[in-house]
Amino acid sequence: MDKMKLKLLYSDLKSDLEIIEKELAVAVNSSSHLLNEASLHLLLAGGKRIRPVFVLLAAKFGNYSIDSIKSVAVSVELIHMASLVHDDVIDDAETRRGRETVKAQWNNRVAMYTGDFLFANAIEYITDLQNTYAHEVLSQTMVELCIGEIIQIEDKHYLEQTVRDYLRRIKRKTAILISASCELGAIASKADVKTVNHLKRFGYYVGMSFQIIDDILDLTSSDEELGKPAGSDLAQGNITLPVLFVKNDPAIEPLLSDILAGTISDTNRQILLTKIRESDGIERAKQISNIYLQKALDEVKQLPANSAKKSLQNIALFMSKRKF
Amino acid sequence: MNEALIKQHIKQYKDGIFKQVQHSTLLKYTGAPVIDEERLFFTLLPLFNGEEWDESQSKSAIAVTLIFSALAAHDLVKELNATTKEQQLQVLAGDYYSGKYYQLLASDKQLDLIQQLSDGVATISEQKTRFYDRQLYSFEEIIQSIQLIESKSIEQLYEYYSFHEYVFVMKESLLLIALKRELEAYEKGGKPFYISKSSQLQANINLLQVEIEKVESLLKEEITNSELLQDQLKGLLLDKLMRCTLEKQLREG
Repeated sequence: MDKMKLKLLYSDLKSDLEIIEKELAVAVNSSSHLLNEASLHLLLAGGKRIRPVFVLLAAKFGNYSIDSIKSVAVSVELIHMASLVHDDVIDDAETRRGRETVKAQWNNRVAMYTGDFLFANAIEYITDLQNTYAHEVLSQTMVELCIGEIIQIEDKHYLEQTVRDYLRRIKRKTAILISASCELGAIASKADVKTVNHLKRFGYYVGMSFQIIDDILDLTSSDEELGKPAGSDLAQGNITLPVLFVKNDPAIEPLLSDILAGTISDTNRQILLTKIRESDGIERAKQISNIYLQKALDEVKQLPANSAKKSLQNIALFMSKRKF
Repeated sequence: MNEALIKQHIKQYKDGIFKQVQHSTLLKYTGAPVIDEERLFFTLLPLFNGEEWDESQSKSAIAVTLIFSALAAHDLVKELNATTKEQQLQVLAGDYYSGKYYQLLASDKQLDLIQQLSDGVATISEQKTRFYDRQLYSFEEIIQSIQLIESKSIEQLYEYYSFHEYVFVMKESLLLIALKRELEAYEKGGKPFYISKSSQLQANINLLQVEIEKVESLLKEEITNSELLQDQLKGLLLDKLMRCTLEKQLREG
């Protein structure tokens, strides 16, 4: 995703996001040299910080004060960072965002402890928010995130899974943390219940749309655009929405079996990707993504008018229409 | 409290914890969560000594045990090549148990305890990375790290519920148990968790033996002269802590 273009959509949050960035640096600071190095390594790798952005924008619908919401924004980003560090162990990933992963630079165990450290700091940070309901939301989110990942491992290579299985999985894997970011931002700024619920649903729909697009891009982008071989998800056994739509196509089926079995040649991988791109699977997946996007935009429409409303709309459109 | 009742309590807690985190896939591939019974015994020490123990304290004790289960799950992830399904799920098992401890305390509205325990987990994680750090730590620093890793969350639980006077016995006991386990595994040619990662410990096995004797004698005195601990519990504690030494002496003739 073009980070610069995205940043323009919430440029009025610039100074507050700088505060969050500084706070993140404080949060990952450790007395352990190694942990410091590993956490800093992660922080410098950047990222879109889209979850903190959603926290801040959602908070604009209540009594916005950066001091009272920064702990929430830092917390959700730390959770995201921690889960990426652990995901890299699960996926045996050597690089992320063009940088060596923690597990590659050190080892799996160091990655485990780095993730644990970040998760723990995430929880500690959000305890600044003395609202028990918010903690129930976040703890439930953390549990659901794990269950989503567990299901993803269970579903790997399983071609008989349904679209409903896929949607349930991405809900837990991606949508729920974005939804929680919006909900918690609104709760922390004491927005009214109706607004909190609109924002929660908005986050969920945007998250669903975003993940479907992410899965499409894994199949339609070039290796260079992705920074990894296109079709990597599939090669790892993750069956995504476009593939579910075309899995029974006789021209695709045998190649699909090869890639899932890990026996596909690079030439055949390219042929498979071309066939998927030429099929209607991509278009059908885009349609589903658009349905979620539309639902997200409908939720925004019902929010009180303010500057954040337009930003939420634009970010949703950007995330769901991005090219890579 | 007598030994039979203590065992019954430990079993009940373990069953409760298993129920709390039951997940069929995790159970199938990673087994039940690791629950160290010795540590659970010390988590519940004030209860076993007749202290007032309410529902909230029970939940907090379960949460602390879940923290240790989470950390133990991650200790089981191999340093390299953790690519099997079992290993991948081991990563998630740890995260899942962590989420569950947070959820349990959040539902009990224990925000201050959540804050303290999460700070403790961050500290434990820091101490664990010391064993992979290029920087050299002294023998004393390594021992301190082990003690912290073994007992920090229980210490926080005790402090939270004002059981301050139990902290010393618990911390030294858990250190002693850990060091004895390490030494025993090392002598048997195994790969003890701390020693295998610390050149400092490997180079100073004799110092480790001295440390064990020092902690053991300190504890013996503390427990014997304690006015806090009930006699029945004193006997049980001494038996528990000295058992390994006796077994070792018998083996060595």
